Amino acid sequence: MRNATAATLIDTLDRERACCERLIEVSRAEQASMVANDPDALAERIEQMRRALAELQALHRERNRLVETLARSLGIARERVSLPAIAERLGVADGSALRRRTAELMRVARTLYQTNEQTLYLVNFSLDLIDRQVRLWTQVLTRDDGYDAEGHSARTAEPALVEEKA
Amino acid sequence: MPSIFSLLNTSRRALDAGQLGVQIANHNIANLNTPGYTRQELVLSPMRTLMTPFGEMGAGVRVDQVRRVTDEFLTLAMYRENSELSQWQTQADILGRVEMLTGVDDETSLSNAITEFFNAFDQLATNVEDDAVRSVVVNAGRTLAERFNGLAASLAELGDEIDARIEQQSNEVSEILRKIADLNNQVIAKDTHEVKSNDLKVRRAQLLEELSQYVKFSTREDQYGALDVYIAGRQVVHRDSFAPVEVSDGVSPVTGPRPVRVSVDGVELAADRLGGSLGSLVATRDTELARARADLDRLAATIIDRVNAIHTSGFSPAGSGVAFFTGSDALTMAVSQTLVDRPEYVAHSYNNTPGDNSLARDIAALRDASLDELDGRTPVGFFSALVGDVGSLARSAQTMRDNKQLTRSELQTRIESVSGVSLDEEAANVSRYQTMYEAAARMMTTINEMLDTLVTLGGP
Repeated sequence: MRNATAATLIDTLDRERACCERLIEVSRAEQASMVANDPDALAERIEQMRRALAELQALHRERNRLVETLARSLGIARERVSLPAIAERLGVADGSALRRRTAELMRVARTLYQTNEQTLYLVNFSLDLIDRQVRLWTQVLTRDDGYDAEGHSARTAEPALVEEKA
Repeated sequence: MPSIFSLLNTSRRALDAGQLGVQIANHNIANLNTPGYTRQELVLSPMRTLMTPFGEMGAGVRVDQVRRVTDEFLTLAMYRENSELSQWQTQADILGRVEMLTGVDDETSLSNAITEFFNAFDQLATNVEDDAVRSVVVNAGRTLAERFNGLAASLAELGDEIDARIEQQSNEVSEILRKIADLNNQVIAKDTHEVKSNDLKVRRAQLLEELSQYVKFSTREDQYGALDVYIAGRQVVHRDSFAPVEVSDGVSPVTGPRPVRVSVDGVELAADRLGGSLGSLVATRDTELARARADLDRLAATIIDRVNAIHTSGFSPAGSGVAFFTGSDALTMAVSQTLVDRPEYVAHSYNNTPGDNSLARDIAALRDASLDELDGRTPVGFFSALVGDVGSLARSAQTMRDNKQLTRSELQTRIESVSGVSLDEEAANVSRYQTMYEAAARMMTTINEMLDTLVTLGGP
C-alpha cells in the first residue's frame, strides 16, 4: 500500500525540481542578457523569473504543508522533521522514491543556488559600475572649479577619475 | 564591495537628483541665478553651446566631457577586470595543479600509503615471529617515504616553475613599460608639432590592456599627452623614461634562496598590490603552495618522530635501538638503510619477552590516534584536510575566475556599445537597468533564502 500524502509530496518535489530547473535557465539567460547589454531581453527574463518564483513559492508552501502533515501522522518530533526522517518512517517503496526525489531536488537546488550567486555577482558588479558612472557624471556636470579667475578652463586633473588613479 | 542594496540606494540617490539630461539643464538653470553661474558661463561660452530661453548653455561641452570621462572610466574598469581575471585564472591554474598532485586516486594516494604502513604493523602484531611480515613492514615504509618524496618534489618543481614564470612575466612587463615610454616620447613630439597623435595613443592603449593581464596599475596623463604609469604605488613610467620591473634575490618559502622577488628600483613590490597574473604567481606560491608544502612536511616529520620514538625503544629478533625512518621532512624521509638491508631489525616488543607485540600494536595504533602535532587529527585525517583545503580554494578561485569572465564580457560589450548611443539614451538605460537589477537581485535573494530552508529540510 502506498501513502497518498507521500505520493502527493513526491509529486510536489518533482514539480519543485522542474521549477528550479527552469529558474536555472532563466538565471543563465539573465547573465547572457546583462553581458550582451540587452535591456529588452533582460526585462523579459526578469518577467519569466517573476512567474517562476511565484510558482516556486506556491510549491514551497504546498511542500511544507505536506511535510508537516506527514511528520505529524508518522509521529516525528517537530525538531527532527526532515525529508530523510520522513523517508525512514515510510514503507520501502515510498521511502525509496522520496529519498531519490529528495536527492534529485537537492542537486538541482544547489546548482540553482550557485547560478544565482553568479548572477548576483554580475548584478553587484553592474550596480557598482553604474553607481560609479552616475557619480562620475554628477561630478562632471556639477563641477564649478577647474577654471581660472578669467573663466578660462584650467588644465586640472579630471576629478571623477581621481579614485581610479593612484 | 558594498552590498547590492546599499549600492542601489547610493545610485538611486544619485539618479534621484535628476536624469542626466535634466541634470544638465537644471544645473545650468539653477546657476543662472547664482553668483557662480557667471564664471561657468564664461568658461562654457567659448565652446560649443546650446541656445535656451536663458541664453547660451554649455551643455554640449559638458556632454563631451561626460562622454570622454565615461570612456576613460570604462577603459580603466576594463583594465582592472583584466587584472583580476588574470589573477584568479592564475590562482585557479596553480591550485588545480596542486589539487591534482595531492588528490590522486585511492590506490596510489599518500592516504593509502599511510594506512597501509600502519596496517603492516598490525599484521606484524599478529605474526611477531614471521620475518616475511617484517619485509612487508619495510616495504610499506619505503612506499610511504617514496610517496612523501614524490609529492614534495612535485610541489617543489611547481614552485620552481612559478619562479621561472615570475621572471619571464617581469621581463614582459618591463618590455611593455619601455614601449609605453617610447610612445610617450612620440606623443609629446607630435603634440608639440600639432600633429594628431591618436594612432600612437591607440597603440599605447593596446599596451595598457596587455599590461593589465600581468599587473594592476594606475595612470595619469599629463598636459602634453604623456602617460605616467604606476604599479603598486611606484611610478614605473614617467614621460619617456621607465623603471624596469626586476626579479631580485630572495628566499622562497618553497624553494629556498632564489631570484624570486619582484622589485622596482630595488624596492620589493608586495604581491597583493601587484595584482594580475604576476601578483597571483607570487601570492599563490607564498601562501597556498607554501602552506601545502609546510603541512606535508609537518605530516612527514610527525610520522617520522612518532614512529622512531616508539621503534628505537623496542626489540626485534636481531637487536634494538634502530630508528625506523631517517630524514626530517617529506623530501628527505626514507626507511633506515639498516632495516632495508636487514628487515629482521624491525621491532615488535618493548621488553623482548616471547610473544609480546605491544610495540607493533602501539605503532599500528598511530593510524587512528589524534595527534597534537597534527592539530588533533589522525595522519590520514590531516592529509585529507590538506587535500580538502586545496580543493576548496581551487574551486573558489575557479568560481571567481568564472565570475570575472562574465563581468569582463559585460564591460567589453558596454565599451563597444557606449559610443553608438546618445548620452540621453545611455542615461535612460542606466535608470532602466538599475530598476531591473534591483528586481532581479530581490528575486534571486528570495529564491536563495528558500533554497536554504529546502537544503535544511533535505537533511545531511
